[in-house]
Formats: sequence, structure tokens, C-alpha cells
Amino acid sequence: MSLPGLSNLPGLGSASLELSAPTVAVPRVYNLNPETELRFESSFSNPINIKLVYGNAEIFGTELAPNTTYTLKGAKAAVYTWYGCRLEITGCAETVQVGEQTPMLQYINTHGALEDARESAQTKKSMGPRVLIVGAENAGKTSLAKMLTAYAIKSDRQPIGVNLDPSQALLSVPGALTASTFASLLDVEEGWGSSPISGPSALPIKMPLCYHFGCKTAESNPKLYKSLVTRLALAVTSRMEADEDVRSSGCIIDTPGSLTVGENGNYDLLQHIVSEFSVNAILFLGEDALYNKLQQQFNGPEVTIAQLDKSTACFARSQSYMKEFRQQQIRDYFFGHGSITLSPLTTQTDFGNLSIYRINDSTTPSPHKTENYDEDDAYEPTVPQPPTTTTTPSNQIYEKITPSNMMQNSLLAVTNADSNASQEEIRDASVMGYVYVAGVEEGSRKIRLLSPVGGKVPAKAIIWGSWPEEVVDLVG
Amino acid sequence: MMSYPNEAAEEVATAFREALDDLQRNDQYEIDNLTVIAKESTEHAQSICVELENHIKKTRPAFKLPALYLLDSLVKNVGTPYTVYLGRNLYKTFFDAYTVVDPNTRKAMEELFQSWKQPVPLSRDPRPVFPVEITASMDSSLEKMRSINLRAEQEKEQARLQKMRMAQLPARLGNMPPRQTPTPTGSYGYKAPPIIGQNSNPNSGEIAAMMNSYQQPSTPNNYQQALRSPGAFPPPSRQGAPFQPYPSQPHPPQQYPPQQHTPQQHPASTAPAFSYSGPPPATMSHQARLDKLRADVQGLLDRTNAFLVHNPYDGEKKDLLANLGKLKQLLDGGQLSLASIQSTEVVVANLALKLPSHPPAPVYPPASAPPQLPQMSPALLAMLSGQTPQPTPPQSQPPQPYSYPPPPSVAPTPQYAPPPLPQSGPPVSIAQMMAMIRASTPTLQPASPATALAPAAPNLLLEQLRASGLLGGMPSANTNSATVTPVLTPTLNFSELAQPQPVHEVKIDSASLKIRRPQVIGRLYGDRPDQCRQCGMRFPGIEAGKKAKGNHIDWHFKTNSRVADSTKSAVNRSWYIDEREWIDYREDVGGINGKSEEEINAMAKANGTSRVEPKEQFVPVPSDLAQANRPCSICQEKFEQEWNVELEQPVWKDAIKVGNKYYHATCYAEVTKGNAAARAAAVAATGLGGGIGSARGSARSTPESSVLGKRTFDHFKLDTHDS
Ligand SMILES: Nc1ncnc2c1ncn2[C@@H]1O[C@H](COP(=O)(O)OP(=O)(O)OP(=O)(O)O)[C@@H](O)[C@H]1O
Ligand SMILES: [Mg+2]
Ligand SMILES: [Zn+2]
Ligand SMILES: [Zn+2]
Repeated sequence: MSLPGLSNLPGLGSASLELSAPTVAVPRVYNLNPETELRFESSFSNPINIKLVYGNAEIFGTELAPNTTYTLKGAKAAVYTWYGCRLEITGCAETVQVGEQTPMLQYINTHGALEDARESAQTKKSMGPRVLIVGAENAGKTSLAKMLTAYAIKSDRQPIGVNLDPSQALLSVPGALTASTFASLLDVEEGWGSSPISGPSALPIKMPLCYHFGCKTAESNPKLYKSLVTRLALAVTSRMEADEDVRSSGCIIDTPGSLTVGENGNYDLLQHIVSEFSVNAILFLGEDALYNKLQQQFNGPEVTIAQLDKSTACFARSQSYMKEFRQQQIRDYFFGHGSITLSPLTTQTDFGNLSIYRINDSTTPSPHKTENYDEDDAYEPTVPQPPTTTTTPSNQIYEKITPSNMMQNSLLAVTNADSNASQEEIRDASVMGYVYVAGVEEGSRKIRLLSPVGGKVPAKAIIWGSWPEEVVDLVG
Repeated sequence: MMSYPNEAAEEVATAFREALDDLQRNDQYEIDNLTVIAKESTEHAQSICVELENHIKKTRPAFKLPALYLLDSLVKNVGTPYTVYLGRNLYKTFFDAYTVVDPNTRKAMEELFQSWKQPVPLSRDPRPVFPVEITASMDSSLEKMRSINLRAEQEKEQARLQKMRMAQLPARLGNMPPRQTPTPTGSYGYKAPPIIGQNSNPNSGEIAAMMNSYQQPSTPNNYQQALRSPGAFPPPSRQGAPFQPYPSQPHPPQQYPPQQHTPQQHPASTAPAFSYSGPPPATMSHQARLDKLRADVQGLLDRTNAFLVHNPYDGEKKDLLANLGKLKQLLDGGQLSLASIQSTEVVVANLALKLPSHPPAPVYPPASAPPQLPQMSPALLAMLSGQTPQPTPPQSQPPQPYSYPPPPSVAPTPQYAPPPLPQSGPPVSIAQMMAMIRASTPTLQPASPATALAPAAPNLLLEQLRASGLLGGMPSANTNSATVTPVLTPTLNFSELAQPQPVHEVKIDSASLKIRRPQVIGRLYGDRPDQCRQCGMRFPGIEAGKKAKGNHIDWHFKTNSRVADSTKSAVNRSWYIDEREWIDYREDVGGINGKSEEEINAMAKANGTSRVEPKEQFVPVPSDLAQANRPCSICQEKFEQEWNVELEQPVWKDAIKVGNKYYHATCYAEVTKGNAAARAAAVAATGLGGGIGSARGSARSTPESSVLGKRTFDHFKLDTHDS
């Protein structure tokens, strides 16, 4: 949550200094019956302001404080109420409508069942539920993950949230696979919260662990994807073993919708995730023939699988919206969100100071593709490729490159691996953070980077992938 | 350091700065003087404003208020361009000061601030002193900070009243009329100027008049004078009308006659801000709410009947009448949980809005009327805001124009909060009801009818409402039948939650997940009736929950002040911690979850990661004499020295060296709390404790704190290694 005004000092030198009569926006008032929701959309430029003036209400499981204005930009979401409420809405909200039919009962019951399991795990000091959320694109998987996390927090748990969808970010930037413990209130405005910053914040920060995948879909580099899933699962399991609070709380895993594409879905990757994370509950969102197949495959003494209705409010989001959404996530990483205003720094350095590795994913036009790639239908042929300077065997994960103009406007992942580490070491290293390539001067062999933290860019192995897509206007 | 446009500006600035240094108390004469200087040097206004802002920021807390009065005087008496320059940083200037001053000064600052939202008194210019864009964000932040304080005090006050009641003393606070009149004490010399022409430069005659009025403390406006006194801040808009420290239009002074003020010796008068016009909703009893609801439903019945007299063939209304009848029966017969009551209240309120009032319109608006309901009848509003039940049916209410009051952010909005558990009487929450039912049926057989029916009972009303069509959104017959005969599968038996039984795996099945289980929702709401007004977190209504909430509120306050302070320095995203650190990391959420400092420390100790109490940290007294005479950079107080036997040299107690600066370790801990790195550093600094990465809630991820600054962290590490 943010405290309005704490960060945005009133407009320095802006036209707002013109003393003018205030225009008072009249709030629109909505009275919601119990167990209904108010669905809304807001653009990125023109946020919506929501204030709960009576009753109780929650956004994706996180309860709103009374008489507090929440500002959401670029959001498609709903305020749900179990007991009825009155809301005041101001700002942009072209599409606001009341939804009376929701799957919320199923969702909160799911939470109840998970609590059941957590309670039992707590007494036995065993592992709490490991939940996998599967469903088609836009089925509401991420929203459900958020809700279950929020409810778990409310029940004094500390679950681990895992994002295995490289197309969107969790406390990070798109392209990362992330795990984070959640022990305190989610940030309604941001969605999840904020990763650590160098100063205080009104809500406790969340502590993510990130690995860089660097492709848009799991399918475009299944081998790397699997390796990273294994690595992430290892860390999550270790944390659960070491941390009692986390152990009994379990984890909630969000997946990309692409895993359900095709007649059998991507069974191979699903199977891999289930076994690496020792998943014991699969929640399948939406009506799909695939559900029955998965049920046959997975249902057993070890794993329970259940089908949940998807919300009728979830519908496909436009490509342009999704792009703006991702770019906002990148912007938030460098510049903060809501009341948190961050100051990243630009640094210039010689090519020679950086060890950059390009991901040798299946999008690379490679003369001799090897048997290492099991699935190869879903390649993305559109990504521009840098000139291949060195010839590397294509069964290598990464290829060391010299910076080039091609990197302009893209993100680089600074790993924790040493600059001359082995391929596997680089792959298995978690990410320290991301830098943005603001400019490359091939002539003078200099590169200008936007870095979240000042000073020299750490002498670590740096990964450049085809994803996330470039952000053109990140620095002016 | 500071660059001035020209020499003259620098000269003026220097003179002004020196004068500011002398402004150590609220000296009317000095303030007037400086105002005149500023007025005559508007071409150097920018430099003057920079000086003033710097002075307010740097001077010690006790001297801040006089400087702020000067600021006030400049913007009100001179206006442009001072309003423009000072407005730019007003937020920061104000809150930098606000966070460090004592409560009395805060009150005085709040008064100042309130006046900035108004036009200059007696001015013909209707615009506020500072534009609303500037004051709005300040207002909300201020409201936030203040509500934390109020809440904390309020809770204290309630506890105190509770004690008084128990001691059979009459608790009169609740019945006391709100104190409208501030106590004039006249301890501050400077008074807000009743001056004409804010943004137009006043002519010399006006200036003379203004100066005169400054020199005459007996200006016949006791109201304003009163407002200047500390501790006299009237409750901010708690009675619905926005608080106006000044009349917004010229009023003859006699409209604000000096009223006799409540003597301070009455204990209740120490908390004037908490007198509500009605009893707080949390204390409105369960029964009272039920009665109120019954009355409202009766009112609806009457209205529907009245309507049908004129429109006898309206089938829809006939149905409604029948349903309302059922609802009434339910209300009369049932022991209802608070959650049910609350839900029903909303339904009834919404119905009331849809129902044509007086006189009954011949045509009823379509049932699918948009949900946008900007206005409510006064009766219902009163009901919804939890005021004393008025048995008068809505029908008999005279038609009053009702304008929606601007909701103050600490308005007594009803909270979902069951009253304190009565010794006997209806159960107050679903969970408690469940517990009682469980207690009476010790066998936990899933198929046992008592157990199986239990979950459905408390929500019977909701179900009835749905079934009768009074409440939308309940589509499936599926759910209804499920409620009547709940199928509790053995694998998902929520009634066993109280005594967790070893369940080996999560068993979730699609059919079972569709069953309504109010207690699952109740666990997240009704079982935690006490909600934080700032962040929405909930706490149990029991004693332990109260304490936790108190600690939680403290946590907010500290965090918010730190956030406000941090606007001074640039903040950036930290690097993420690495895999190993992440596995070793433990969430540090004691504060927000309502643990006290002691509990948090105890927990850390139990985890074998005790950190050195700031109090116990010490550093050798610096050999450099200048250094040795310097106070703590945070609180400006001197260090306490003692002889350390082990080191065989004098040390400063409760001290820490960061970079080249010395701080009280406690001051430093306070400033950097929440900053994991600083704490880890503090641990490492003493060479004790678990070191970086192992202290609870610490990680290497945030090597730069706002206090440490950019490069000093490395210095700091060097210092640590040196010593
Ligand atoms: N009840 C609701 N009302 C309005 N919007 C909603 C609701 N539930 C979810 N949404 C919105 O619908 C969109 C799709 O939801 P969500 O992101 O959870 O789906 P997903 O399955 O994770 O999608 P993807 O396949 O892209 O990962 C989101 O913008 C989400 O905020
Ligand atoms: Mg998603
Ligand atoms: Zn709170
Ligand atoms: Zn100090």
C-alpha cells in the first residue's frame, strides 16, 4: 500500500503552480450486495481511485482499509465483497460493472482446504501443500495465485509464491523465474509488493529469488526452462526445510498458459514441474478437455487434482495492453511504483569490463541443431539476432559475445556467477539484478547502462536473452 | 555550495540567514521585521525562500515553529512570489519538521496547515493560501499520521474509561458535547494576520495597517488568537462539517465570541478529539443492530404496503412484500450472527433505495436499475453509519435534502466488529458459534447431522435472502441444495479444523469446493474483528489481539516517519540476494504482525541470531578533540562517556561510528530500522552476533541505507575492520 503524497512532492516548476480554482471530482458511489464484485479497468495513463466507505472489500484477496484511497493504473481487476460494501470511485474507469456470479466460493474453499493441510503439516512439522495452478491463457491463474497467497498471509502463514511464467514478472522483470516468500500484506496497487530497496517503505518489502530464463515462452527453450525449474525447486525446497514457518505454509506455483496448449498440453514440462516441486495439489482453472487427461495422468495417492471455475470477468487482454503491462513492470523495477520513487543511475563502461553471454535459445538460426531440444514447434522467429561473432557449438547454453548495437534498449541480467564461470554455473546462478542498455557506441567500444544500484556494474557473468522485449523510452 | 544569481542576492540571503539564526522563539517583532524585509526584497525572494527552507530543515526542533510562523507570515502578508517558491517544497519543508517536533508543536503546525487551505482571513481573494494541489497531498499524509496517533490515544482512552467504569466512576466523556472552543492560552506571540489582499501586493497603507495589527495583540478577534494556542486544535471535522479554522468570509468578530473554555483539570478534556456525536459503532450492541434491522425491515414493509395501495397490480411489489414478510419472520425468530446482520443491512439499505419513497410513484423504476446509488435516505445513512437506532420507520421521515458529507478519513465508519463477547446471549461470530456447536457435539463424525448442518445454520438468512430473490447473485440450485443437505466429504471436513487431524495430503474435489462454508470466510473476517484503518490488516478481538494491534499501529507510525524522512535522500532498488542468502533469510514481519520490540528480540535470540542491543554498543572516544566534542548527529545530544576496563580507554556508551560520523546506537537503530543492511552492519560492527546474512531479517541485499549514503558503506566496513 502506498501513502498518497509521500513521494510526489507537489509539482516542481510545473504548470500546476498556477493558482487556480480546484476542480473537485465527484465520486461515483457503488453499493455492492454480499458476495458480489465491482469489476473495473483503468488505463496506464489515467488511474482509477477506489475508496471503501462502508463494509468490507478485498482486491484479489487483500482487504482494503476503510476510507483509504487506492490508486490502480493499468489494472483489470475487481473489488469483491463477502458481506457487502459501499465504494467510491473516482478517476478513469470507463468500464465499471457489478459482477454477481463469481467463483469466489470455490476459491475461498480451496484456501480452506489448504489451511487444513497447513495445520496438519504444522503439527507434524512436515511440508505444507505444494499447489500448482494450471489453466489456459487468461484463465485467471495469476489472480488465483494472488488470492490464495493473500488468504494464506491473512491466516498468518508464510507461503512461497513461485512464478514459472516468463512472459510476466513477479517482483522482478519479465523473463525471470521467481520465488518469493510472502509474510506480509500484498500491495493492492502494485499487485504483489516491492522487492528490496535502499530505503524504508510503508509496507515490508518482499524478498524474491530470481533466475533468468530470457525467452518469452517455456517452449522456446525447454531444456533451459527445465534446468531453471529444477534449480528454483531446489532452492524452494531447501528454504522449506530450513524455515519452519515457510515449511508448513507450502508453496503456490503460477504457470504460463502455454502449458495447456495442444491436445495433451505440455505434459513433459508439467510433469517436470510436478516432480521437481513435489506438487501435491493441482488446481485446473476452467473447462477444458485437458483436465480429464491431466486427471488421469496425475491423480493418485500423491497428487490431488481439482477443477475450478474461471471467472467470467477474465478475458483475453490485447497484445498492446500486455506489452504496456510488461513495460510497466520493467519501469517499476528501476523507478518504483506508487509511493516508492526510485533513482536508478546511468554508468558508462568499456566493453572490456563486461562479460556478456547470449542465450543460445532455439530462436537462434543455427546450422546444426542438436537433439537436445525436445519440443520445437513453438519457436519465435521474430526476434532480431545479433551478428554471431564467435562460432560456438549450438549445444552450448550461452554464447559469449561482445556488446553491439543490437543490445540497445534491452535488459541484461547480472548473475551471481563469476565472469568466467562455466556455462552450468552461469545457468544455475541466481540473478543479482537487471541493467538496461541505454546506449552502445561500437566505435569507442563503450556501453551506457541504467543500473538500479550506483557504482561499477559487478564483474559477474551477464546474460542477454531475447526476452523481455526492448523498452524504447525507459531513459530520456 | 549554494549559488546565487548575483551578489546582491547573496548579501540578502546572508543577512536573512543570520536573522533566522536569531529567531529562536516566537517573537512577533522579529517575524514582522523579517516579513517587511522579505516584502521589500521580492526580487530576491527565491534566495530568501531557500534560506528559510534550509533553516527550517536544519534548525533544531525547538526552533522550527518560529521559522514556520515566519513562513506563514510571508505567504499571508506578502503572497506572491513567496507562495510560489515556498509552495514548491512545502510538503517536504513541512513534514521534515513535523516528524521531528513534539506533540504540541505538531498541533500548532496542524493549525497552521489548516489555515493554508483557506483564503487569507478577511481577504477579498477567495483562493486558499496555497493551491489545493499542494495541500491535498499534505492533507492526506497528515491525516494518516494523525489517525495513527489518535487511534493509539483513543485506545488508551478507552482502556482508561473501561477502568473508570469498573471503578464505578461515571464516565462522562461519551456524553460530553464536542469542544468547539479552543482554549486560549496566548502563549504564542505570533498571530495569523487578518490582512487584505493576499496575492496582489498590498499597498503601503495596507502594510501599515497590517503591521499595526501585528503590534496590537488585543486585536478583537479572540477566535484567531485562540487558534494560535497549542493544544487548542478542535477535533478535525468529526462532526461531519469540515473544520474551518478561519471564517471563509469576512465575519464580524462578535460572531466568534470568546466562549468559556473547559478547564483542563477534567481528565476527559485531554482527549477532546474523541467525542463522537453518537456512540462508536463498535459499541452498538448486537441486539441493537438486530432491533434496528427489524425496524428497517418493518419500514420497508410499510412502504411497500403504501406503494401497493396506489399500485395494487404491481406484481413485483407483491412478491417483494411477501419476501419482506419472510425476512421479517427470520429476523424475529433467529439468533443471527453479526456477519449475517451486516449483510442483511446492506441488502435492506439497497432495497430501501430502490423502493420509491414519498409519495409513492405510480411507476416503479425497473428492477435492473443501475447500481449507482449516489444518495441514500437519511434514516438509512444513519443506520449504515451505525448511529443510535431510531425506531421511526423510514416512511415517516420528512423529506430532507441530504447532501453527502465529505467523508473524513477517520470518520466513524462502522467497522465489521462484533461487540465484546457477552456472558450469555447470542454468539458473536460464526467461529464462536461453531465452537459452541462443536463443544456440544464432541463426536466428529462427518455424517453426523449436527455437525453437517452446523455450517449452514449461521448463514441461513443469507440463503433465505437469496432464495427469496432479495439478494442477487445466487444462481445454482446446486448451492441451495448443498446448503440444506451439506455434503461434507470425509476428505474435506472443515468441522474438524478445531482439532487438526493428521491429513496426509490435500484432498480437494470440485464438488466439495462449491459448498458454502461461512466459517472459512469467517476465519478471515469475523474471527478478526479489529481492523487496522491504515492498511486493512485484521486482529483478533481478544486481549492479545488488542495488544498486537497496538504494536502494529506503532509499527506504522515508525515506518511512516521513516518513509517521510527518506524523501531527503535518493532511494534505489537493491540487488537481489543470492540463493544461499535467500535460503537463510527469515521474514522480518514481527512489527507489522504486532509483535513488540521485546518479543522480536526474544524471537531473534531463540533463533540463535541475537543481535547486540543498540544500548550496549560502544566506541572508543575519538582522539581528535573536535570530534570528541561533537554531539550525536541525529539527536544533537552529547555522548555519555565511561571508562572501559577491557580496552583500558574511555568509551562512549550507546554509540556507533558510521563513516566518519558518530551516532547514538539507539538513534541510529531507530533511523535505520527496517533497513536490513544497517542492522546487519551494526551486528558486524561489534564483532558479535551472527554476522551478515544470518541475523534475522538481514541480508546483504541492501548495502546502501539512506543514512549510510553511497560510498560510506565501504568506509564503514573499513572502519569495522580497523577497530
Ligand atoms: N474477477 C475479475 N474481475 C475483473 N478482472 C479480473 C478478474 N479476475 C481476473 N481479472 C483480470 O483478468 C486478467 C486475466 O487474469 P490473470 O492474469 O489472473 O490470468 P492468467 O491465467 O494468469 O493469464 P496469463 O495466461 O496471461 O498468465 C487480468 O488482467 C486480471 O487482472
Ligand atoms: Mg498469469
Ligand atoms: Zn495497519
Ligand atoms: Zn542521538
